[in-house]
Amino acid sequence: MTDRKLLRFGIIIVLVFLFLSLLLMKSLSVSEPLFLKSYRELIIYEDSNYTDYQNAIELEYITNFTDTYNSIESVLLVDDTNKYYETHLQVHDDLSEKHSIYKTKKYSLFLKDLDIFKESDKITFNQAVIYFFNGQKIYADIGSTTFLNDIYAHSEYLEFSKSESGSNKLGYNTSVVLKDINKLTTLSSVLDNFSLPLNITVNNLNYFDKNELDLNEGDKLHIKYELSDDIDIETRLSNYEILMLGQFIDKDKEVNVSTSLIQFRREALSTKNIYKLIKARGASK
Amino acid sequence: MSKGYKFIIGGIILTMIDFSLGAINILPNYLGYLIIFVGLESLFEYSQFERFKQLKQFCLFLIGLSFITEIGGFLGLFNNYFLFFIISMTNTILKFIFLFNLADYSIEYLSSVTDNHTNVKEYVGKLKIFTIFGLVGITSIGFSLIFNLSFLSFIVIFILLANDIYLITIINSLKNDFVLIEK
Repeated sequence: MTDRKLLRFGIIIVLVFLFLSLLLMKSLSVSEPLFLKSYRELIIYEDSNYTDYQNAIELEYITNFTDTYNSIESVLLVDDTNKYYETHLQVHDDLSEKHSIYKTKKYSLFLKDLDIFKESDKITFNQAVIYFFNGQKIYADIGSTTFLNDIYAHSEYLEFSKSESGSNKLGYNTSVVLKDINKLTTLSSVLDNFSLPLNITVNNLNYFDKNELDLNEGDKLHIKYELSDDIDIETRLSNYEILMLGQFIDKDKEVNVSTSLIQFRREALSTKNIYKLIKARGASK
Repeated sequence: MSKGYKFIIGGIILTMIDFSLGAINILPNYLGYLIIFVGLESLFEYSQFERFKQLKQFCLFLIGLSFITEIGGFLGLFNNYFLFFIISMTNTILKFIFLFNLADYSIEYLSSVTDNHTNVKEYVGKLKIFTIFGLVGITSIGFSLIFNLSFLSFIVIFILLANDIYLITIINSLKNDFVLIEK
């Protein structure tokens, strides 16, 4: 009776459009979970009775939001000498984020054998072997997490007072100096590897050479990282939590002090950024 | 005719509402289609209009499909997203075609029993609006499901609900016209 042509034509257009959309979605999907990198330096607390460490290793990956059965079953961590370590897993469902056709999932890893920290002052994990419930096995470069013995952890010299992420491309920290310090350097090689510009001010005065830095009691030390636009997407989407090392000379004896310094949040994840990362790694289907 | 259309309107409203207690859907779509089927039965008995008989068969198919969908959902058979997408879209598109046919055949029957062609033309125009909005709504809901766009889904669900309500008003007017003709 009425516009059957309109209905028929309309339904055909709808089906073609949805089919093309499905093809587009398939072509934008990731072929396998994509692990984000993080660079962290964590302090091991140790005394005669127990060994503990400040934080777990974080594992975050991007997958397709349609992937239902790709939860992680177990993870082995690999250190820089190629030794494998078993872990306990803790999933953070509440931290799972959806970004259009992608989603991110977050896990915390706890090492099963804590005795390893009694044998070494410094252990760096930079690879992981991930086993999924669907039988998939992935070797992932997870950045690097370095556990450091507590020889540096004397916070009476620098008081950690404030740590914030200013914006997507900005991380800064303000500390108050409690004892004189003659030199400031980084424990991390992350800054050098990625040429992240480091801006240091003491009492609002700029310092360009951190090795020549003299800090007096009561000084306010402000350290800021800024990501420039020419830094690649891989670096921009990495997480940083880096310790800064302060050194001072007391009665001709050099002593190291540190403060847990900067949590440098990566650029916020967005669908566009995720797609750029997928493209950069050549991980699309 | 009036009784039949009352059942049909009630059935359409039921297909629009979803209410679940835990994993169990208290108001499944097949219940709505079942009521529509009863209404169509009544329309066919009264009018003996062949198109209503075709619609009954279509309605039976929808009852079966939505029953299978409901059971499959309950048993967790559609955990695969693509399967879920195809089933959802099939149900939505078939429901849309069914409602279009329901209104279209009713208008056709009205034109066969009345000389008031202006009235019939008005209904044809209204059905065209329903068709266009329905097509836009279905395209958008499909797009938002594919690309997981929750905000778009939220808006489109309201558009589709409004469109169904619009169709109910068309059917209700048709019912009133048939009552007048019967008198």
